[in-house]
Amino acid sequence: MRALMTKIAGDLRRRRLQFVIVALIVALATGVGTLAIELMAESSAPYMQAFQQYQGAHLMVIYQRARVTPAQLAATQRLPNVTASAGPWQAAYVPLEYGTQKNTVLVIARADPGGPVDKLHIVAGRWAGRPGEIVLTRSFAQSIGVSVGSQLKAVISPYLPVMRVVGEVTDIDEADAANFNPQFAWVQPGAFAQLLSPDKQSSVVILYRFQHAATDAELQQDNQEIAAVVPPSAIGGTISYLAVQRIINLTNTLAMTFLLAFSVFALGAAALIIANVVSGAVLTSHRDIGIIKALGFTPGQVIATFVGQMLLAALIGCLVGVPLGVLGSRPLVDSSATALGVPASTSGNLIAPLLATLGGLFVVTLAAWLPALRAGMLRPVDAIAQHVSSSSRRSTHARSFTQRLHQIHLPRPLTLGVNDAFARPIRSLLTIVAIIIGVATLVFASGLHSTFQVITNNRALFDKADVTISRYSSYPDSTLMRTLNEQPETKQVVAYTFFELNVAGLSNPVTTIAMRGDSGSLGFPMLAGRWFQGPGEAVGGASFVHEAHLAVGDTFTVTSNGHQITLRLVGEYFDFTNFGRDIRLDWSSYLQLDPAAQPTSYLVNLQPGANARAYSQRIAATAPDYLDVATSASSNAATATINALNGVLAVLVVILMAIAVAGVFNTLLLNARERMRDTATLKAIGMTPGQIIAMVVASACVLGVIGGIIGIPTGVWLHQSLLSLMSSAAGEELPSQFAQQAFNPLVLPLLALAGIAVAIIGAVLPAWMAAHDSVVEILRTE
Amino acid sequence: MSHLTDQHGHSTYLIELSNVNKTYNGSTDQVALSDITLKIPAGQFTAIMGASGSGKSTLLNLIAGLDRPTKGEVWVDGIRVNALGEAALARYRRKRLGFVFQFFNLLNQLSVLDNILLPAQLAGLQSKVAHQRARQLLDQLGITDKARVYPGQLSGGQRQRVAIARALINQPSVLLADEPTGALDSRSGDAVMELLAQINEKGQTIVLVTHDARLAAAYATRIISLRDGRIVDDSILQAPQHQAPSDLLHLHSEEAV
Repeated sequence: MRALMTKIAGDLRRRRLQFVIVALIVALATGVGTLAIELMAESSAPYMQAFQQYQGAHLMVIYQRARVTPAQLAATQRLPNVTASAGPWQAAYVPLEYGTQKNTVLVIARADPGGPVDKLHIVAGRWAGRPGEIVLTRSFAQSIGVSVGSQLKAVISPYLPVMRVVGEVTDIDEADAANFNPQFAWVQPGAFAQLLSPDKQSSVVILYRFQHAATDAELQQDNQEIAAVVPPSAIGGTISYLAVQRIINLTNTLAMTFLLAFSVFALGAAALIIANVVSGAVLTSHRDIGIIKALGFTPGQVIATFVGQMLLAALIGCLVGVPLGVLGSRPLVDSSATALGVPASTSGNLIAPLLATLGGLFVVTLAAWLPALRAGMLRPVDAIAQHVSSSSRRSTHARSFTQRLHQIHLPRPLTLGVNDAFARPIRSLLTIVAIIIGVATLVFASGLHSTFQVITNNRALFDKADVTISRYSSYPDSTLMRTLNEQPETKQVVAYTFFELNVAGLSNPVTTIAMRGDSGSLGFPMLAGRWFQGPGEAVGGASFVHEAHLAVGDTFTVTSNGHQITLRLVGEYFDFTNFGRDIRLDWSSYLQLDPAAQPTSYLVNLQPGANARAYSQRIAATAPDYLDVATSASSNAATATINALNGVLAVLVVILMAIAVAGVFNTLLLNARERMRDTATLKAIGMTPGQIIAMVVASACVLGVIGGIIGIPTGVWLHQSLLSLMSSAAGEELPSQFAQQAFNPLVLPLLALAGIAVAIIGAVLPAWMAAHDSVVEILRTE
Repeated sequence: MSHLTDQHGHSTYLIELSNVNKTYNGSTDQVALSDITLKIPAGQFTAIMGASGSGKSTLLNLIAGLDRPTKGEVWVDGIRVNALGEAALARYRRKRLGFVFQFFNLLNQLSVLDNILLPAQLAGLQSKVAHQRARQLLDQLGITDKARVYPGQLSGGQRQRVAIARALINQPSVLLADEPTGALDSRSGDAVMELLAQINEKGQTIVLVTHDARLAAAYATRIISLRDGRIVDDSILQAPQHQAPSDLLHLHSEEAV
């Protein structure tokens, strides 16, 4: 054992640089792996922890107050499966104005933040006590830039009461403001009346906890029991804790999907490089192997000397990479915890670090053991006799390649370098694979970034009109339309409103958008079929279509406000916003359900050359308190989710490219060491240091070009495959054109240059070393 | 500047070493060469002899510009070698020197012809001219039929002929040979030395490093003996061909030309 350790220590001293490289790539690979496992293990932990701590509601039901009696509401709270409930509380959607911003919140009349269900955690200020005081969620307050003491104007009532923010809370029953709208706000029940316009009916909210609510199916059953107690159409909307959890965990789920995939690639690339290092070490140590075997090392001990070196490097890599992976996962895991108001997880969960370390060491052992077997099987006499000259064994293929290269009339150092690239075909192949992984990751990341952009742009379709207007109910639709039509710059107006629709066969109401005007021209991306063209036609989001078991062409029955109509599904469209669980239909269909309905939002496109800003200011001036007018430039469609994913992606690209660089570096170092004598000879017969560098870099460039060329289609394929996986994880399909739009055919070939860049970066140091090695020293050792 | 010049300002010697010292720095400084002053005229076949560690290879490396003296100056063909940068040294080696190694040091991935052409290609010699010269050398060295084969398929003697051809392709001022027969059997070694002698007869300056007194005496026209980094003997042979060592005319180093 002592002899073994001495041999390992001696070899490590000789291969310090490669030791560092192996430790580095193992650190990077296990870091990514730890990040992925940590996210997988912890992604739901903060939410469930907070849910238990604050007694979150399994289901929040919003009733239409006019359609349900207090006795019926009380009956729902006494259902056998209901273990706890809170409410009924009056609630209403209220637009709040702060500076130039107007945002609608669901204001709930609640006496205190405690109770058996949904305990609100006050993170700043206090609970509302008097009329004119309001409590907001921290997430909402931060998103609009207000804090305790700020004053907001409620623009729904003719009195336009000013509300002072007295507290900020975290609420387990809703996600953050970037992903969950409208947010909730709270006032004292006695202060609620001042927020209602005289013609506006309020809603009533009840929060339930159930005995069985672990799955969507169980929650659906619970919801059906409630729906059976109240009159049809009494339920205006529901929010399930599972949906909230999905929204909160969306970023982590998506990040985890590609992190897991890329941690496998990173470990794979690391394994290739380690196999390369060991096979190179075996090849250049034949004499040593022969000697130690002659001295009495068993084949197992010989193998152990090589595996031991790699394991030691890997262990150091794990000790660096795994804690970095844990640290890297913190921002993603903790952002959920912070938003939920629970302490950041310091769980000390050792599963992820342990799994990543053991996985890393296992892969390294395997990668080192296979090429080390060759050392174990060498006969001492052969090993000593084969004092290896690297280039003594060359295939006829390589020679004919050399001949062909020579005919190209490239400068001699370049042809020699290109030829060197294939001196060790297996080593070159393994290096090319590492480059392919690096380039493919870059292509994938570039594609995903573009896809995110396309998704964001499609999410922002509602904001993409030249001017967007939100109208509050006290200001009539007809007045606004007259104003818009009077403006000579107005080219087209599409108006819309949100409402909940009960669909036959579905227990939960479906969010629906009724649109007036030429909504088809907005260009919503379609997964199947076409956009609706008139009354009786509707299009559905993918999630809704699947949940209702519909296909394009099918009809389905819907009810709202006590009216029932039949709709034909003419298309399936993409929208990420509501997990695809929504319906869009023509305004004429909506009028059959609610004859008095009026749109609340307006998308206005202007004549070419019109000044959108001047137009907006002019429209806003007609009713400054009741209209929220914005130009398209002012909308910020980027979301926190996509920004976070782009961040993770950028880190992954850097890591995988670094591993590829390490792969090239390692290969060239091995090649340079094996070919030291040839290089010294070339210098002795007149090759300049610059020519030596050109020769080594040329050999790397060949690998880089091949890796780059193969890396591009590999990256495109990865993009399509992982996008499909991520779409499934997010519960939403993507239109095929999204994937197609991800890559610019003119830019794509340029990404192949990344392979060459990786090769050149990896080659610089070995080339410099080769150019500056002492010829005298090398030739003297002959 | 101490080197001698003719009436036109040109050096009368092809190689001049003036008070050259070479010390290797390690845990203890090792003196490889000590105060070497040496002049070699064009066309001479000089053999540098000495035991292992005497400094003969170091001397050759200094002339080749592969190593730099710690002190002193090295002039070759009018060039102050020790003042050149790395790139200039490479150009100097490719144009002025030919190098023959003990272990041939041919590139096994290149054919015999490509090995020979390599220095010409590095020097940017016109392809047609380079091929013409290579063919001539192949003929001269008796390996014409080996042009397309690879070094691995040749005997040691044949490999050394290829190495000599490679060394001569750029028509160098000096041919440096470091133990060219060290890896050959005596028959092949003699053949290689015959070849070098023939080349010398055509006017090629040759500096040979060897520890084989028999070969040196048989083929060289001058023998310089080194011991512990100093020249201890510098002998010019009156009739080098197959002379016994006892027939040499001995000169002390101070008296050497």
